[in-house]
Amino acid sequence: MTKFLSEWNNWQLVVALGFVLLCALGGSAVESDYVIQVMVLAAVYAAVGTAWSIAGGLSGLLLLGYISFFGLGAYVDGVFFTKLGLNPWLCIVLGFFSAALLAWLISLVTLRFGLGEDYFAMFTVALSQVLKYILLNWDYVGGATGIYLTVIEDNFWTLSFVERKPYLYIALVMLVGVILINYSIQRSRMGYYLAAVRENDQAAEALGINVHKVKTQAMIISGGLAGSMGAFYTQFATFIDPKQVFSLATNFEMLLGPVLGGRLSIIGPVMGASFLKPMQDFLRGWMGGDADALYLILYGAVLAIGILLLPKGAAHYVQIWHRKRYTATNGEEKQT
Amino acid sequence: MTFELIVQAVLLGLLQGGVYALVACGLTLIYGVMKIVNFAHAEFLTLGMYLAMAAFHLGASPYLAALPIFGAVAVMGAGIQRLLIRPALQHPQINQMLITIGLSTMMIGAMQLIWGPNNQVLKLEWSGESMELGGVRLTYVRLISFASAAAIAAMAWWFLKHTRTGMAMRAASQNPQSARLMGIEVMRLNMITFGVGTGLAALAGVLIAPAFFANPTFGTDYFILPAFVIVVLGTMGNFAGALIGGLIIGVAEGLGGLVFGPALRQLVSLLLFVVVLLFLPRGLFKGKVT
Repeated sequence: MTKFLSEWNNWQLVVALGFVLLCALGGSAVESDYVIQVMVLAAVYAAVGTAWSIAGGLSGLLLLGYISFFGLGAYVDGVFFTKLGLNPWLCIVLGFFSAALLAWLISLVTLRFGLGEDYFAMFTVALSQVLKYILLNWDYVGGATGIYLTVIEDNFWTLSFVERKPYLYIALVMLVGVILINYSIQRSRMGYYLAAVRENDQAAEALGINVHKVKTQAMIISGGLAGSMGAFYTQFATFIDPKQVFSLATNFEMLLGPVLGGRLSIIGPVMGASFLKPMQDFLRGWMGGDADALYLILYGAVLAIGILLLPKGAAHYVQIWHRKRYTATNGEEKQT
Repeated sequence: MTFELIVQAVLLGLLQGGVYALVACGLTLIYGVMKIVNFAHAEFLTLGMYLAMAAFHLGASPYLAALPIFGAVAVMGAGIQRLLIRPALQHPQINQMLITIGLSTMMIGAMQLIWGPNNQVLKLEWSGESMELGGVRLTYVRLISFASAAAIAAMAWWFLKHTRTGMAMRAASQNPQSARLMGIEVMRLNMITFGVGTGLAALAGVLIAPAFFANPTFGTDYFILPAFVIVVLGTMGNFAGALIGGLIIGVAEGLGGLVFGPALRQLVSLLLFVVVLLFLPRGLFKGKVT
């Protein structure tokens, strides 16, 4: 066991899964619907953050406009569920594939030879805003009023519950899924490719790694997972509109967890979101009147100053501690 | 669709393009020298609008207040660069951009706190008046904003070509390492550039204040995407490219508004973005930065 844990990624996996289990147990004891609501959102943000870190962290892409995938998934579910009556579980799968398709298209345009990373960053941000405007002006999918879902009965098959608790369990299961995907990518051959590409893409190319292909794969997986989370979000929130699911503010809130928690880690995005999301709701409740404006100032300041103080994310320091701890007891273990 | 409508769309687009150009040349200047995309750029434009309104409510003409507003925002921008961005200079590029995003969020929040979330308008006595040019009605406000934007761009051009600081900026854009070896204080230059660049965005804000409703996210909603497309089209870091790109995008959006309806003008910018990335990845100036 010590040997297993001495590997940083394994240790992270155990801690992250243990934490999720704790949340599930804690959630089952909580009575307040409000607390459950915050927990579900934190789980969604954690999953989106973990999914982001596959492209934004592991492959080192400047993926700043990530909400497009989440919003697209949300709308796929909203439209197919309300207009065609498609099963929501299928919608989650469909959300994955449509967002993955979008990610592939973005990669086609922006990950070409010689295009700077800045172009990629600007394009993704721009795209999310254009998608917002298209949906705002598209009456068939609800336009500016958005889409409402009605929940009348508890039915696992149609992913609708009158109570909030079942959503928490489903969100946590999805979070575990995303964590496992992130973990297995890091352990696989692809993970090593990604590390090589991230550290020095020219050297990686020289070693025979298809840099473009690896980055595209990371984008497709990362985007697809966000699409699935978006589809789930629609079922949970029962209301979406373009200004909400394509909001740049939400976009950066989602990135805040992985960025401050640690882009390359597994625990970073999970812990980051679990800490920041409840904090946010607490502050919203606490500040009253000008809450929205004060909240924007505060969270902008947290983002800017947090990055200055923790350029490598909080998980970096945990990793240093972890390394010390296991080299001390297990001197002969090779550390990575 | 009549010929007149097209002429009108082109002319209005051109006028709008002048303002776009002013916003974009600040962005491209900052990129050229500092190699970061300033995601808070549009917020400085919104700030300029609000400051023009504040000046107007104090009894000053917004146009007379333009110079003090430019100065104030430039000093503020330089201070922000010193406090927030310079400490991250050794960190990865993504961190610096995320800091500008944090800055953008803070500015939106601050403007919402001070001026409220709702639309505000600066109504000059002659805001609605217009003149006819070749069968097209153009408001004076728009004409003035275009003419001033052109004059300011010309001054900035002169500044880059003929002052020591301007030449240092161009040198640093071309090659920061060599610029440093030639004795240019790149650190100080970064600060000045960020100040001047954000000041130019604020100036653009002052010029359009009488023609648009202002709200805290106005800049992000309407200006950031065109500005991005313009700097990419005109080669990032290229000042003249930003000016020409601004006019092109302005006209393209004007015509696009005719085809897709005004609400989807931004779609045209995005399509152009895709076209530029696919076929002109180095921009109109083939990667040259000055």
